Amino acid sequence: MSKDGIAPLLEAFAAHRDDPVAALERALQAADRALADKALLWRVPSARAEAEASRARWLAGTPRGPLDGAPIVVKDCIDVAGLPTTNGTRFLLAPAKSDAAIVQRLRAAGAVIFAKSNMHEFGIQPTGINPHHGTPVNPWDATRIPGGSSSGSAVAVASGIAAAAIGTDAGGSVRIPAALTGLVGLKPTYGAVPGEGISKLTKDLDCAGPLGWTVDDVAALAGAMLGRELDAAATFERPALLADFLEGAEHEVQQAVRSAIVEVFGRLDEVASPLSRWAAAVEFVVVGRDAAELMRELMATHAAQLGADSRMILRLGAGLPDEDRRRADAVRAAMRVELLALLQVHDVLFAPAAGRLAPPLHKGAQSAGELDPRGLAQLAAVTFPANLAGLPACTVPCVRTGLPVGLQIIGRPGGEAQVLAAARRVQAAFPPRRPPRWHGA
Amino acid sequence: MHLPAPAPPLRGFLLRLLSRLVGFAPLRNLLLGKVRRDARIPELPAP
Repeated sequence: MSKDGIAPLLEAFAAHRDDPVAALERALQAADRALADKALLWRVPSARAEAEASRARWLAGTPRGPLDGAPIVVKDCIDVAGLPTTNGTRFLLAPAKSDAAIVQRLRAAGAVIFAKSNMHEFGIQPTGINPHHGTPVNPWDATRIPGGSSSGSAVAVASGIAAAAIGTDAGGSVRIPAALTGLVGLKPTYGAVPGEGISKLTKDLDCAGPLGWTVDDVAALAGAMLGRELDAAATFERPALLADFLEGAEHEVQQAVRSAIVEVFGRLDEVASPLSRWAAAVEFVVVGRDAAELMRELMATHAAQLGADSRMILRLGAGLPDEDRRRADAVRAAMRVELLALLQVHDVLFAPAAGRLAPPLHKGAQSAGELDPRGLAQLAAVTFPANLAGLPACTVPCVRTGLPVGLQIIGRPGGEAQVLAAARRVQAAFPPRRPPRWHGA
Repeated sequence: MHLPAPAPPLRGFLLRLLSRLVGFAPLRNLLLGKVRRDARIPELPAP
């Protein structure tokens, strides 16, 4: 279905028309051509040796599975031994002592992690703007943001550098950049993927997840990260549209999501989650308070070196009263109950993956970041509920022309296979599209 | 979805300046009050 991504590469490896070392070389050459696009921060020195070992396995007819030899990148909040984990800052430069648990799992599955990708500082906003390292260029339109916080991961895949990527998502940070760059992205069930070795923004929202060209690639990566294969033959019943998630979204987004659903699934039940309407206010409180607490030491020692938006959010977050947190936690708990009740009846729920097309990247934002609570909420309010409720959710492209739009699919805890089964149906009708800016071979 | 009230985005010099000024508690509380109201945080349903 797609000529890009992991599956076509592995087909070529199996037929001995290509090999992991050559694939890595092409990825590194593409990274060289794309230096100005700021998608990547660090190259992984051991990648060549890993690609050679993978090539030997393919030659011996003993590949480790559906990721063996695939050149991928991981977000720079994920530890890779010997390299810094900047978390999007310019000063966290101490090399990690060991690999994050998911890096170990991906390498055990044969993936060749060849670089670490740029991101929004601390993952604190969903725009992907980074005043320290530069903002990764959206390959669909360089005048627009790529989405974040896993901005470099999305751009590396969408512009043809990496076969796939890993990001993290505490409020939409995998799904939003994937949606704005025309990729598939999955946020697994909270707690299902080990978090050891990953810098956290919050106490109980962050979750690592894959971004790729196809649902099958994302399923293969998710399988390795979760430590269990996802059933490719999973089925789902009674899908429904979360109609109130369309309220406040841009007209183009509403129209694209509604028409894609009708085309693929016909007329669906429309359901509502009234408490999810408070998702932006709840997420602001939870992220503000948690991040301020987790970064307290950094703020004491490095406040002047932070991006202005991070500094502002952390200072304001530290001042949020306890009563705000109590109310936010109560609404969050009730929101989870409400969504789980809907998921008792419906196997999957549909919504937009971002409430806006990729917003413009303003010049002043590039140099100092941006703080636009309304714009941020319009973009990301639709992704917050899955984080707040700990549910698996993916985005899959749902347009054939123009800027990408993502359809979000939310499932029950542990329901990744059903979420991806629904995404496969959508992708069969809306195949992957290459953007105009392309660095691949 | 309940979105925050419209307000001009902060960028560039203004954002840099304000992010430093909110290091002072009185200014922080002033701005925090506005951000909370805009984001409708005080309207969150009580437990």
